[in-house]
Amino acid sequence: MSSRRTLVYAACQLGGWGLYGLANILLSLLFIATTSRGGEQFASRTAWTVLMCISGGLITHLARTWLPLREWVRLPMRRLALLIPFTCTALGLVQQVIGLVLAYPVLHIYGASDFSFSFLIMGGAFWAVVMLMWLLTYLTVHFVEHAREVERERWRQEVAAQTSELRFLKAQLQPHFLFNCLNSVRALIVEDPVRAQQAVTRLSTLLRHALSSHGPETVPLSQELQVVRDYLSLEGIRLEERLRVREDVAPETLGIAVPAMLVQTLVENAIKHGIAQTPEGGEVAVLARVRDGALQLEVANTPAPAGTPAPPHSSGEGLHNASERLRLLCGMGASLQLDQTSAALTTARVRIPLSP
Amino acid sequence: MRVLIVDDERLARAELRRLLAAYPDVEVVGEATHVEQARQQVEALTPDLLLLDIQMPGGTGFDVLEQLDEPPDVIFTTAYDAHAVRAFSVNALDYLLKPIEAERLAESLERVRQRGHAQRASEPSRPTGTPLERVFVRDGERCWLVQLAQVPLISSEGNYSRLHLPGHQPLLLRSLSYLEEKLDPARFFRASRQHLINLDFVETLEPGPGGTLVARLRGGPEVEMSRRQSLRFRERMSL
Repeated sequence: MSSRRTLVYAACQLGGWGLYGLANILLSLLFIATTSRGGEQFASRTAWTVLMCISGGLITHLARTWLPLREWVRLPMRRLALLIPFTCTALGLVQQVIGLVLAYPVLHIYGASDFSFSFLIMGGAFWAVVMLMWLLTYLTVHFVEHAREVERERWRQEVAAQTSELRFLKAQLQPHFLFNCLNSVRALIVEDPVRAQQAVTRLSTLLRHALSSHGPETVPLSQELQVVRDYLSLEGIRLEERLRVREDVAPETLGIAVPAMLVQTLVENAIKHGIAQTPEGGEVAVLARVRDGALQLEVANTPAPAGTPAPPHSSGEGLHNASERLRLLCGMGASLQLDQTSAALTTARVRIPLSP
Repeated sequence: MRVLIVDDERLARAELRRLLAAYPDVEVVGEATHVEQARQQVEALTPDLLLLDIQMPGGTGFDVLEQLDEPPDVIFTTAYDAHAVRAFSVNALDYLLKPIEAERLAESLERVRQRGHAQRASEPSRPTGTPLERVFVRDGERCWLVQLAQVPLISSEGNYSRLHLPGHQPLLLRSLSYLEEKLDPARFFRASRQHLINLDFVETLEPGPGGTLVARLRGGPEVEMSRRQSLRFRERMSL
């Protein structure tokens, strides 16, 4: 990785300064063509240009070696606004001094009469601008790289957080649900022992599923629906005729991978915010089909009557987390939306694009 | 003891009925499944004890109590509610965790019986239309059944009233005028538009500016009476 970076750097240095030199030599050639006296100085001017490119390359290379340029991407803008002009000017001045030495005593391009104050300043400013361009190019590359790294790190952390959160959710399995359920089962033992036995079996299945936290992050829809059915049948014992369930699942959707506990979360929400808040109860409908190259999942429920206070411990966080997890596991094309526009129906809609 | 069961789940109610069947002195007079029904049943049946679920359609058990003029004794039943359990740990309100243990239920009922005996001993007759004696209040995470005889001062806060008790000042969802009407006039006196004072707590009375009276209440606060009420108070005292 670092040897590749060195190679890219070297190519940029050689290419950049080489192009600069080539352009200068071509300009000199053009100059010769238009004037009669230009030819005499062409050789020395070309030599000067080549030497200037080499010194420019060296100066910038030394600047890269000696100055902590790569750390500058972390500096605040205000410090950079001071550092960059200062560095450019310093580098430009060094280059200018070398240029003058080469041009006057060594190559004799200029005579003593050619020097004036404004000439010197102009030369210095020119080289400072060249150095500024070099510096900006160098820093931009590193800025982009740094930003990309930060973004990658952010995603890594988010995934880690979501994973641990999922484990936690699975592990705790709604104590409220659990104890209400056990209470119902206790009443059933006297009233209807056979149903009580069934309920205990269902509860065991659900607990086993919730406790196997090392399972895959996504499961086939058929498996997820099995969990949902166990859960709904237990809620059915608790809510009795208040809970009506409708399932409309197209056979071709059963094998599609969905985030584990996704439908379960939606169904739980539907009961907590809808059915359990309504004295006469209502219907929970689970729909799945393939349309427009995507799996379309819907969990619809009869909403709580208007003006019902929100049940405690509900900040909409569950739905938000589910939505984040969905995007992490199924890509940015996946979406989860809650449709509360109809007074008669609250619908959670999930869309998971099928990979071609 | 006449009991009303409030729970939205039929099986939970059945389980409670079964557990209560063991007590010959306990009679289940009715059942309610949600907040509004619970309020109506309490008013219609005037039970001695409420077995009250916390989570139910249309609100919580706390909402039921807040809507009642004078709540009966209460035992909360809850599957699991860290908040509720914390709310009770600081005061006399009792709660049972579902599934309910028979022994815990027996303890709670015994506590209610004793409380009932103490009250009936102090006030032998309770005809209808008696003044309001206690209220349910919620203050953040905590809740109380407050005996109004122990409240020195009630002040008005818009449509609500604030009970000034030592250590806490919970808000009550009733207006001061409403309370004045419902409270025992021999005990509570309207000192001004802002204040209702408990005469049992008045320690000293001093003349204030412009012929008014300033009452100093046991446990701290001074309350200035309005001119009109000062006059009325003097008339009453001289009788």
